[in-house]
Amino acid sequence: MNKKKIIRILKFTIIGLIILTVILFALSMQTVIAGLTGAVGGDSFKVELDNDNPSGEWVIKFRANPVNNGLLGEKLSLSLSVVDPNGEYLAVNATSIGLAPGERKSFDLTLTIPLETVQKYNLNATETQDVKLELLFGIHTLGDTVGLQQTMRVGGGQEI
Amino acid sequence: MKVNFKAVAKAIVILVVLSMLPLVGRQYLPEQLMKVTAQSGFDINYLIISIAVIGAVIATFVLLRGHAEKTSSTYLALSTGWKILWLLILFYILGAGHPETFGFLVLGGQSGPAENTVVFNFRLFAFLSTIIVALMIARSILQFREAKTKPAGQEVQTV
Repeated sequence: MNKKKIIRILKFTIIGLIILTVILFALSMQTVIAGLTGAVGGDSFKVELDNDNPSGEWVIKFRANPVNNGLLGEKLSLSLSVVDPNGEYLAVNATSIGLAPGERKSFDLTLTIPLETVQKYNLNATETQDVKLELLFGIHTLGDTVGLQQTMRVGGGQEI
Repeated sequence: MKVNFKAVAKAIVILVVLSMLPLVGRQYLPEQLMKVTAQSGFDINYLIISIAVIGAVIATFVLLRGHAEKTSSTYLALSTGWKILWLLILFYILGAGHPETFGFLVLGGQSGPAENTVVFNFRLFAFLSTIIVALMIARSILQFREAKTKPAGQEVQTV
């Protein structure tokens, strides 16, 4: 193949790749933003804490009913955990679901904090600053290659 | 050497808009804005200084490119550097001032005992842009070689 032909092929490959990049960027941004509003908007998110359990365990229930308003499929991931002052995880539970465009799916995530942890860190007291609740929420598209992940850590006495 | 006034004018405009205006305008920014941006993990001073540095580098490239022969190896080197510079600027934008993250944008901060961090993953676009720039450089080299083999006086297409 002569040089001129290679130069021409390269030119069209570059143009094609630029167009592909712009289209993928626009589609993935639309999916992430629309997916985010569909996941956290309205009544799609609910967190309940059950600390009156007869067993003495604390149960944090997370209910979600997200909808994918984006043009591409998306993966939602969620993780609930309790972290001690040294950053060690005392209890963790995580889940993820895939949503096709326009699809709505509901899912629950339950985190049980064992009685010994409740007693050790004195979680029933009003001041529980040394233990934090971590909520990790992720939304990804294009086979997990584009997306965002939000991590919130709140101490005792605070609201998510 | 003949002075290319068009290149000099372009370089001055770029220097004024990207380097001088942000540096001068920094003192007029409201303090509240500085506080809010600092809480969200954003260093506005660092951002302004980096924009000023980028402006100075772009102006230098424009000035040098304007004075280089289009068939010379200097022009090829400058053209390659120019493409790499734009790739770095893209990484800079995708990482909100942190090009070393290669398309990872981390925002967030701590307010009392609460922490909030948001991580955006744009690595796919950083990867695609790198491929595009590599192909552009390869094309420039081929065009340069092609131009070298052509007899003098023939028109040379440049990127």
